[in-house]
Amino acid sequence: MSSNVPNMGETPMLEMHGLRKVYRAGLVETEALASATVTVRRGEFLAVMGPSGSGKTTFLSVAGLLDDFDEGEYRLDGENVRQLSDQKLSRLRNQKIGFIFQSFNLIPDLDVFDNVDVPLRYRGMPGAERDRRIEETLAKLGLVARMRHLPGQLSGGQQQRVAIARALAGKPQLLLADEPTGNLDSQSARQIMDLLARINAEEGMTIVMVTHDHEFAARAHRKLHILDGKLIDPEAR
Amino acid sequence: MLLPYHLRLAVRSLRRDPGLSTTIVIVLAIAAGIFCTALMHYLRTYVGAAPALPASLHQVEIIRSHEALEAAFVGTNAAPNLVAARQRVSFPMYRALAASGLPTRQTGTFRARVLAEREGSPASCPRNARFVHADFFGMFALPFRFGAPWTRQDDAAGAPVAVLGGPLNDQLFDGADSVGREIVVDGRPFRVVGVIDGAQPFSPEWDRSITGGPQDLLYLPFAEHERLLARPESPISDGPEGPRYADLLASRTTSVAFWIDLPTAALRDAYARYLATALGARGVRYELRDLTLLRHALGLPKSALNFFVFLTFLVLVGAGLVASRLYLAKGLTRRGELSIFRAVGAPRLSLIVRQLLEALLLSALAGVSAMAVAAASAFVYNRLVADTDIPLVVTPLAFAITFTATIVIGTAAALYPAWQAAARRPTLMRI
Repeated sequence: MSSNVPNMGETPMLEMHGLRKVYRAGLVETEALASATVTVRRGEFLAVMGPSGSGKTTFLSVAGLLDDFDEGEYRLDGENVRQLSDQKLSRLRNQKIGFIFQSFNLIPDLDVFDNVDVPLRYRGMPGAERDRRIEETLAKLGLVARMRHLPGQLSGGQQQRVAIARALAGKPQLLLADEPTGNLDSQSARQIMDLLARINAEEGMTIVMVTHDHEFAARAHRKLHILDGKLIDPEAR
Repeated sequence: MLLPYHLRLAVRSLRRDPGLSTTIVIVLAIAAGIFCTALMHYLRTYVGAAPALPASLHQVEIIRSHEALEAAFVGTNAAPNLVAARQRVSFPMYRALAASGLPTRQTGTFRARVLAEREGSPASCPRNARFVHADFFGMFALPFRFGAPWTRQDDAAGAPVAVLGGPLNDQLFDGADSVGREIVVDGRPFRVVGVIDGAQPFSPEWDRSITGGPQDLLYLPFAEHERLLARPESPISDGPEGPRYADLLASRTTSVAFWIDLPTAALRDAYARYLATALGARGVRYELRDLTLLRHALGLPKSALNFFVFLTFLVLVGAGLVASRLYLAKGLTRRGELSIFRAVGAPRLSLIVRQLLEALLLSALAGVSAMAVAAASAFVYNRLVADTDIPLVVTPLAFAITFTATIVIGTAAALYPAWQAAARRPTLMRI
């Protein structure tokens, strides 16, 4: 599918060069990312695959500014994120990145509306604008009727749609999905994949998705493998 | 503005961990209640509930040699009350000073035991009666629950009037408005014209020699002491020269505290000249001191109470440390939620603020609950520890200090746990 990759601007959405991440536990060092170099263009849908413990989640964490790195350079939307303060990193995460987690990670005692509201609150968006965006996003994902339900009252597929709504409501430029179908039955998983593909196609949102599933990975523009912390682009061989 | 949002989340969090939240409140409330109880003692003793009084109030003090005072007590187990010795004058001297006509207001005062009961009651109990002039009530700004003081005209006419202290009014009239009712004092009827509100200060300005003693239960016109043959409490004795009451009044025995109001410099100068003639010229050593100087000179010495207040403050700090551990546990129970907030863009500082807001709410709750603990403790104290009839009460000042201390310690206790919880890295992992 690499031929279908849109090119929606000159500055890549995500650009990593020689990125190295080491976890230290006492004297033991584990290299989770080893000289990772990758460029993700705007509007691209990238699938990241690899066995357990290969460094997929670390890659996504670093890409999502949830974790720092030891060496190398990382530019997000052209901005070098190294040495940025917590305040600036938080703002970048809030404004440019949407997260979808494998286990949904919804706040259990906030209803659907309030869960989607969380990232918008930290944007300093006026109340009326927030309400409009939340309702619009929930409508798009078919969740309006569930707006006042708590996460525990929803099915797994519905919960993941709420998580997607939370990620999309702020209209981020980059969507990072960590095995978004991992906890779902096959039908729900397919629906979620359809949804992600549609978001990418219709809104041109850049998506980086970690998955174990080859069928779903095949729906991405490009696949990337991680093995022992090393990124391998099969199409570049 | 995220503050209202954080406040909402903080309130929600309280409901989420009711067990931990309740434990934090209880721990802080008990410690703050203990602190408040000690503080109430301290405030009652050192600050009291006395209103602000004008510095124009003066007292004529007679300076005697300690040797002479001690000599009067040779052969007895008693010792002279040095404060009373300096602050009181004899009846003859009081009469001489009272005749100056210079002060705008003046009162002589002493306390004596009398038998007092409501009219028609078969029993009659000894009570502490304070003999004062009409000006006394205004000079010391005594608050009235019912009625008003008697007047100078009443003093001049020798009217049989009385003002009841609040506790006696509660005893005799069940706290009802007794103005116009009669009481019987040593067999003579007196008409109640007013009832004092609240309890007497632990250290009453008008008689510092009875600090911590029982309250003045009723007030009678000064001139009545002669009709009632009222013998002053704790006279500093130079020895009356005969057994009769008139002998006591004529003696150099010091019994009367004499207060005058000299609101202008001209009056003070005139009075100083008067004293120089009336006392100085006769070789009497004296001093005219205003209320500010008297308060400074007669301030209570530091006691073990200060140390106990400090100890109970340490108990409150200890409770803060316990609360801190509980806040850490709270942080653990919500690390997943905080991680989500971090992932979607909440800066670390905002999460700290949110947790501190929650701690503030809990501390406020504990501060208010502490008042219940303190009130219960004061109730038990007033019932069981009857070394004084001046009750321990939760005053606004005690409440304000305790509440503020609880808020500060309770919130400070959450600083480290909040920082630690907010410092945790956001994660993609299952939470």
